[in-house]
Amino acid sequence: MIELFSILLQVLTFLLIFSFPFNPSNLNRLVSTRGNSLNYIDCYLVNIVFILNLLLFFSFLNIRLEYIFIVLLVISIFFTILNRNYLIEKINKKNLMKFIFFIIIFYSMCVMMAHAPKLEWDGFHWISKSLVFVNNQDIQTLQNADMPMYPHLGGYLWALFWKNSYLELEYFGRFFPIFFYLISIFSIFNLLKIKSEKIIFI
Amino acid sequence: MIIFLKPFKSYMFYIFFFIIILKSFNTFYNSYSVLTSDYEKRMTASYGFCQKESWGFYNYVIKKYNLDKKTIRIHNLEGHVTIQSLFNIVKKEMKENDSKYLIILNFQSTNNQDIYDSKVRNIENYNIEYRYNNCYLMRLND
Repeated sequence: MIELFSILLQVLTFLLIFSFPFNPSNLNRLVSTRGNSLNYIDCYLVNIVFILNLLLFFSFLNIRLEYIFIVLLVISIFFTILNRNYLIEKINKKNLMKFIFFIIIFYSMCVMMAHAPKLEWDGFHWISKSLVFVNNQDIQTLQNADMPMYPHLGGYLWALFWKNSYLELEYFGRFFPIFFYLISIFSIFNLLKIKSEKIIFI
Repeated sequence: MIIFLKPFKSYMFYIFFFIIILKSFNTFYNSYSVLTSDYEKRMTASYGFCQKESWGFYNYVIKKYNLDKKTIRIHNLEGHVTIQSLFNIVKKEMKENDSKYLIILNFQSTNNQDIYDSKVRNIENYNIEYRYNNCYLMRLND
């Protein structure tokens, strides 16, 4: 039960961390779209790109992952509290169902991973990079990891969410690619104006 | 009954729809599996104890012989990938000198062949420390 609850908490943590710095209000103002066409899904995508670039920069500075995670979490909580009125304003039946739909798919895929947390061949190259960061070693140590020609950001993200997960289990770090994948899918269907209920059939 | 359900009528489609999603991802069974078997059990079920990648064997010997962060020569004779990265142990390359420990997984034998008949380099310099079926933890002779 603790593990299932931790998975749910991890899912909500992703939603919280990547909810800043942009929300539909400031993003629409920033890019001056017609009819405020950018919504929360688009904001999550922009936020992911923004935070990943930030994390890429931090990865070269050998800062402990715990500090980075705490800073991200605190800032995102602060932003959520700051934007609470806008959030409450946006809650309606349609948005709520879309949100529940996203959470259910995300949670189901995470539980599927928890049930069979097996890595395939390539995964063992990536995990050796991830372990460098999990063990708080310098970025220079990456040259001793498997496949030094592979980029390290994926391993860094894996380590960030692995080390700061509630149970510190390896597979918790692998929830991020699921999150990114789902946000991308929802964004595409949002763009095509397809109702969220129809996504599952496609 | 219908009167009771009336307020929920508009949500019935969504509830039905969400149940279909949960079923299609096998979430009920997966949740049951996570509830009833711990992480080690699930990892052993995925990777095998002394078959395939043999996660269970690694886990057992690393705990019992305190091999965390040690350099070990590992051979999986069935051709599966070695999973030392999952345990924070360093696999030694074949070309380097003999390491203190040697792990041989999924040794294939016929008739009276034993582990010393395998083609693993310098195996005669090692003693068997622990064996489970076809998986061996061996230690270099002093």
